[in-house]
Amino acid sequence: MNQKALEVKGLTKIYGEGHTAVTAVEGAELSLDSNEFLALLGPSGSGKTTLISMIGALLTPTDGSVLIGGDDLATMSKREQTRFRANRIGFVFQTFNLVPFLTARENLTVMSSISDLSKDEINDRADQLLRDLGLEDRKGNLPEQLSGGERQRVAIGRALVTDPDLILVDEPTASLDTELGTAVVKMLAEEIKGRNKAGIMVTHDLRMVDYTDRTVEIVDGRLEA
Amino acid sequence: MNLGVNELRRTPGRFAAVSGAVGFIVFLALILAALSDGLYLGSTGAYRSSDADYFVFSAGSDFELSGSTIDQATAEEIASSDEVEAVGRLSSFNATATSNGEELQLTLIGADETTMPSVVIDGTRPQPGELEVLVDGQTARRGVEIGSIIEVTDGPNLIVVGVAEDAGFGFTTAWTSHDVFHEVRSEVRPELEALAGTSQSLGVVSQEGGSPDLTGIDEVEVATVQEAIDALPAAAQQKSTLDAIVYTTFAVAAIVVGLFFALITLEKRSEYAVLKAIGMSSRTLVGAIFVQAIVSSLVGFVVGFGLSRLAGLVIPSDVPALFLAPTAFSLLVITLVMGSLGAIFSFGRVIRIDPASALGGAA
Repeated sequence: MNQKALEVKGLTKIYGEGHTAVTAVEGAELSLDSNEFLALLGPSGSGKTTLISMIGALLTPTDGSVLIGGDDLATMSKREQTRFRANRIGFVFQTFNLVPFLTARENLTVMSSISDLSKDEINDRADQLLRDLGLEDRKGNLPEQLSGGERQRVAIGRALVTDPDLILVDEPTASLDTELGTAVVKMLAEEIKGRNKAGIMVTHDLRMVDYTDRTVEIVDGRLEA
Repeated sequence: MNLGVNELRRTPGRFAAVSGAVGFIVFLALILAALSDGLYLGSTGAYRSSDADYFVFSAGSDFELSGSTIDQATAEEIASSDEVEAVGRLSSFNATATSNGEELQLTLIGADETTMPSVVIDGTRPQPGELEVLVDGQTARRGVEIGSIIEVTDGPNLIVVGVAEDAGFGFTTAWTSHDVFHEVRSEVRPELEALAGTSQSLGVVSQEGGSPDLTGIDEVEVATVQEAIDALPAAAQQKSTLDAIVYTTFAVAAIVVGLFFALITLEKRSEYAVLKAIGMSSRTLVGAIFVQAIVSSLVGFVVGFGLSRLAGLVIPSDVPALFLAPTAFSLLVITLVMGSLGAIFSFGRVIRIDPASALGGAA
């Protein structure tokens, strides 16, 4: 049987208890193959950040399970989840969030201190990714010396450098203009699919869904295909 | 690659403020410690500078020279006791004097070979029967050097023939043979002529590995060197007061470092959240802060040490400041410990940062 890159089963998150309880995500079901890039759409407060946080092993669900490459997050301790994130999940955040005092290359190679890959492997992959992302000439620059698009490309490189199974992308165009945002999402799609990874992109920008394989919408905590 | 070291290397200006603040605190502490050491050592040299292991005082004197009188017979009895290598007399009195046209408050100490400072750094020891003195290094630095004449008010003139380091005993300290001491004292204070043949204390050198039992000697009390020093009322009080100020300044240093890293942690919440989200452990982040606190404190110490050495060059010679390597080393250790303690305040904040806050634009 073909192993799914991601399987989400009955995923539920309820904040609070009793009559103050708020259901942020309810019974989410989702599966994703490798080489598949999915757009997760939804208005503010719909539960998309909560859902992606649970899928990214950042938030413990109230109920249900998340399996990444067949590994159930619920069976892992907090420490194991941290290690899992370092090796198996790549993150691209909304506002780039690079380490400001590290160069573009160091923002990638910093992962060698937490990844199971060797330092040499990480260094080789970092150099290759920087070439692929058109940043070879900028690898010695600090984030403040890079443009918004370059910074987002470094963030994409950091997400890919540990060769993860799943890439989670949170509103990647929020800090970019339309032209640059489109270019970044296009690049993301190429990198994710070209490297046979699975990817989920949280976005509210309908123009970006053209670069994904399918779209799922979340409304009031419920997923709608 | 250590994140903490990298940040220090790339953004040293960010940490200059805390290093500067720690530097000034260390500067203040080193100056106070130098004064503390200077005052303490400059007023206890009579007991520390010789080879004597014990000092004998008359019973009821509470180890104070001014209240103690030991006669010749007692001195001979102690000298003949088991495991006693040598015995020397030790007495002191204060007088006014002039030298090189300047008025001095003179502490004249009478001693024998056993109780005379064991290390003479320049010149010779005073010869018995000669109106010669050995001065403390601090006195020499104030211009009362070899060849200088000390004119004791109502007494004879004494010539400086040698210098011993760390042999001060309060005021301008000069050492002479015990017989000459008695001669000078009798001229200045004739009412003390009757004390001829006595001394205020006896320094006792024990045989190697020996521990003489002097409890059988009548009408005396025996003090170790430290007990004799502790009985000097001013020395112990001055030192403890200044030391308390020094330690308080280091508590301030810990608070300064703690506040600085608390602010830095607050400012870097989003950065830490992202790093935790991508798989960096709290331990790694806390380790980076720890390294930064240690390095910032170390740089602060170097700054403070440098400033204190510069200040040492301009401190007037009559201020008894002594910059001692062991004291500086102790303060270095305390600086690093306090810096580390300060950083610990931030550890909890870092551990409590929720990596999930990196998503959804909260970071």
